[in-house]
Amino acid sequence: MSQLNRESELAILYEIASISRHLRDRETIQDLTLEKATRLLGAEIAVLYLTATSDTQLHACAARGIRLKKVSSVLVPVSPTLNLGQQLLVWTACHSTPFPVPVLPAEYPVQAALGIPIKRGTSLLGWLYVAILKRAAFDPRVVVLYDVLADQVSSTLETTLAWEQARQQQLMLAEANQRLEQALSAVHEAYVRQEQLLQTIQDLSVPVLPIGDQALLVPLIGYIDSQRAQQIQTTMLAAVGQQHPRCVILDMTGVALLDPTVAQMLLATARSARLLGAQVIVCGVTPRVAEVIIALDSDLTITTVSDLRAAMRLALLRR
Amino acid sequence: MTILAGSGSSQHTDAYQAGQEAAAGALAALASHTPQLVIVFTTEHYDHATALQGIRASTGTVPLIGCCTGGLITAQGILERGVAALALCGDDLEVALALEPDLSTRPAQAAQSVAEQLEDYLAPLSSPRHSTALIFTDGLTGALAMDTAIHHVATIFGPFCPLIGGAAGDNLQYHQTSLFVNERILGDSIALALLTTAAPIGIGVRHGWQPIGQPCVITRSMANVIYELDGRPALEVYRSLFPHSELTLENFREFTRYHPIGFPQATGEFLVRLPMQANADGSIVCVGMLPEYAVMYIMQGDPVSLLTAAEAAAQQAMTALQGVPVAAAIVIDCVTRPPLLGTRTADEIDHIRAIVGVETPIIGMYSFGEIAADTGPVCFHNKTVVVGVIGKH
Repeated sequence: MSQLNRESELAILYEIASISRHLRDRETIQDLTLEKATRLLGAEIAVLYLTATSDTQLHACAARGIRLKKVSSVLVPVSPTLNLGQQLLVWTACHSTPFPVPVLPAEYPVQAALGIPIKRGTSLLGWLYVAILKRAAFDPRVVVLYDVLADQVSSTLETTLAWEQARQQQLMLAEANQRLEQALSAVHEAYVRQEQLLQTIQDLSVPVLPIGDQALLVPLIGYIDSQRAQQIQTTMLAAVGQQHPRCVILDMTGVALLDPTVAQMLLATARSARLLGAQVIVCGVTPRVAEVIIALDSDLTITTVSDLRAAMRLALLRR
Repeated sequence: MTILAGSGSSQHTDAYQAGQEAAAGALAALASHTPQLVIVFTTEHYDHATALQGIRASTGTVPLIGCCTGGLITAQGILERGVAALALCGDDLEVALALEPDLSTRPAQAAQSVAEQLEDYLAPLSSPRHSTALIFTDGLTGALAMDTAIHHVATIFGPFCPLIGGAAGDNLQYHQTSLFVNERILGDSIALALLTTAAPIGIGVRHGWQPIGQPCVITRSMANVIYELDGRPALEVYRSLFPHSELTLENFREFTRYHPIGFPQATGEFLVRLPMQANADGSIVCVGMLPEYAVMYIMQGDPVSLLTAAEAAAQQAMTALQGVPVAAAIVIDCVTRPPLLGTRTADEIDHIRAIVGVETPIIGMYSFGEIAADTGPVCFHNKTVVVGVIGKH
């Protein structure tokens, strides 16, 4: 270091300051920190500790000149006797006590070591340990350069961490959006499937079956409400309009009960079919349904027969 | 215990004969002792498999490590063509070897793998013995990957196992090169020999280049390519620093041998990088990784500064032995230093030998990059001389 002149010192400072240009990712900052600490500033061993987001401990994350598995993996930054964030530790083998932080195995004959806090304001982001074995001590000017390095690393690290955090949030947001889109897509697919199913059910609930080319059979089964009665009307009249049958058999064998409104609608449907030129034959009317229809006091001008067989026979006769 | 060493070389045109003669010369100094390691350097003129057969005809299955080089440094002088060998033995000397391919495509994994194969052989810190690793890499395909590989090996071996070695090459034809471990011969690979002994080992590293002129800032670069200096195309700026020279894309490589670039380091030494190639887009390709957004200088050297550096490297290595006599010396010298040294090329080796001992068995290579630690961590160097000495006891 005795040969290091002011111009070279400034050049080294420039190179150290350039770390702030490397806002890529945490790994790059770690590599650069250790590269500058060793190749540029001459440490034979360098270990970088960083705080994790989950706790306040310092975790060894990268090392040069020694395997990471050989150094203390975790350091507690504040102990009753030492606060690693408070000051730069300068130590040489001349001290009567060992380096206050047990980073390396005790048998390592370190000649001099530095412990440099990497902090922004009062928050400790990390801690850099550097050691030499071939020389007796770090030159005081180099100690200052390490301090500048730590300062540059801290500002770069802070920005990089914030950037990584923002990127992480963006990723999470993008993932949430994707999940939402997938959920919406699934809902839409379910809706489409349900619509198709409903359509199928509706189609099945009002089957209109051609009997030969002159008659249609509309078998009604189950409970009929106003909505279904409307559908029966629409479907049946559409079929009559398209196929022009002479006769439509409305088979009510499967209808156990009918409310007056619905009965009225069905009678209206039958009359409408007549207007379209088709005779309506109602069959299979149960006594209870017959009571409802009679109670309507409506003009019952439709043909009724007892069962489907009779209705078929009648329909064939009218061909 | 005493470490014994012997070196030999041959310029025989027949590869087998050259290998056999070099090995015989190395073994002769060991008398009846069995070698425990043979270090072999060759030049591109030989069929390496045949040369190794010749060597192993003499040494048998003794562990062997080495590579093809840009030239040989031997007790017989500098050889542009030949085979050189250094044999080592010692009661407490232990040797383990490993070779791993794919240096250029997966440098971190290749380096980790090759080092982990030897990790269990490292001397424990509590032991009076210590380990040193010889490291050789492909300097033609792996120049970009070298820094990555070296730092991974150094991290696994730790600071108590110094690395010394270099990048294999050819006679500046930049075609292909080979690494040897025992009978295996591979290109694009990394080879390690772990030596463990109680004998001290000293290493010295110097280049002798000094900065000239005003500094420039690398404002745009990637890996080993400089795109912009001071915000302008790199080649344009480099050219402007030599207004009286006719610097073209064609003569760029030859010109930059005399004018590498350097980066100030806190240890006081400059990290030197050799610009190898200029591209039509104005970019400059260097040997080895470049620090981004760093201040660089054009470096200048002359025969005197390079010779002084070689002496300093040898002295540094010898100082580390603390008075222990030298058993053997290994020299890793950049292949682009002789063009500047010119007629004084041989002086560089003579100066080194004068310090490590002219009778000391010696082997050396002209390399495409040098690997060693100065006072700081191990680095990949350019245009540098590395001297390693092994103590006798």
